[in-house]
Amino acid sequence: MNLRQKTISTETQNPKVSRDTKPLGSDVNRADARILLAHRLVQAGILISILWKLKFFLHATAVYRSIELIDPFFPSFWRSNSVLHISFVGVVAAATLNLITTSSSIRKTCNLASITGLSILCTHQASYNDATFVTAWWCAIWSWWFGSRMNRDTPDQLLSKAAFLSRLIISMILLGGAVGKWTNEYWSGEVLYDIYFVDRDYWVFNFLRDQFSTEELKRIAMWHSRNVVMMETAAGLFLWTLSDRMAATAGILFLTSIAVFSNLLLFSVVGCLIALALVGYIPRDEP
Amino acid sequence: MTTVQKTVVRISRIADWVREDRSLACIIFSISVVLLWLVLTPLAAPIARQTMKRFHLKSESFIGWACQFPVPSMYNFANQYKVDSYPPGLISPLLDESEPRHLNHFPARCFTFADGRYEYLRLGKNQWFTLKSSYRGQELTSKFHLKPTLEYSNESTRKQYEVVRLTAPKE
Repeated sequence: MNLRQKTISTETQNPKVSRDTKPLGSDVNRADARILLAHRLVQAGILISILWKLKFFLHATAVYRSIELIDPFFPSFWRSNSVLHISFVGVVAAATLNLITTSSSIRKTCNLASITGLSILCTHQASYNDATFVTAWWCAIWSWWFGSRMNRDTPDQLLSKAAFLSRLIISMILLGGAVGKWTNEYWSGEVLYDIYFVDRDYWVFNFLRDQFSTEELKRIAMWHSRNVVMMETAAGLFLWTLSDRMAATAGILFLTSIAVFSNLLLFSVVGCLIALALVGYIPRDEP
Repeated sequence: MTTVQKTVVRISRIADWVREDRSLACIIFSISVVLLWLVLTPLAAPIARQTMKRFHLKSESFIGWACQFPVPSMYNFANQYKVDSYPPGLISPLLDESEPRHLNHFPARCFTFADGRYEYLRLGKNQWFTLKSSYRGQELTSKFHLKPTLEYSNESTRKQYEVVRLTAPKE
């Protein structure tokens, strides 16, 4: 009896232990290395996103220390500089530890710590407006779910689910950007013209300002803005329907282009999403 | 296998996943709620209004505001801000100090976030901020007075401001 026949025989005798439902066991080291790679990729993405603007964050904290805002809208906890620092450092520590650990319990604790820290950063007076923390939060949610399934699903099944969830999250985030731009001010290019084309010190816009007149720049801004609206809408609506690799490729190209052609600081927002998209590339034995 | 058959297989596979994996089901449900909110934004004026209030830090409560953070809103709406060193209406428009500028999202960031806080508030003087968000014919305008408290003198390196909302929370 060869191996395949043995497997079929075992599954027939005990249908509950089938290929799709067989647990991996509690020892993480036995788990497929691809599973650990997927989880670590996303942790690295979160870490890159959070640390991408570290220099700015350090300057920002100095500003927050010297200029305090008493706004009753925010409870004092959500105005505290200490809370901001602890949350930030906590997320960095949790993602770093998650990169190196193979312990299931440490991984789960780190994922919960990341979600908690990022939830605070998403609602803190000093950081609520930074989209970095929202994209990283969704990646942390993905990580928490993935971490909780590592010893339950087969590697192939888990990677299939993970790739689907990653492109669903990326689609939702892109659609979130698109919906808010379905308005005349974006279709006419007025908003992006003022934000980027007037005085933004970045190679694309410096080059365009050198080459074109104001009227021409407004026209370029209009077509650029329309392109952004249409691309984001298309990606938001259809990215999740693509196959794993197609979605990963499209997602990575689109997210990278956003940062490269607008502002390198945006890698802090899209960095973790690029890592999330990379999960779609991790090979599986099953189609 | 045709495209339709492939789609049916995919959907049934996702349905199987959701049935056997409750945490995945919870996340997909949360994403569905966010997607519903997003799809309704251009269709239902109150939804867009809520997001505008969220952007202006004028939601009915902090909890209500904080619950919206998972909804992605990058570069949403046409948001403008204007900063003045004099109370609104005190000087003639001819002497107006600044032109309104656009911001990507959360226009209140012009005084809460580090760069704006440093640019406009480092001197410890009174500042008035006008924020305006527009979306498909809807508009929300808010005025804020950033009022230095008496605890710190102008010479001090530390400044403290009280954020005073000049417009009523319910528009």
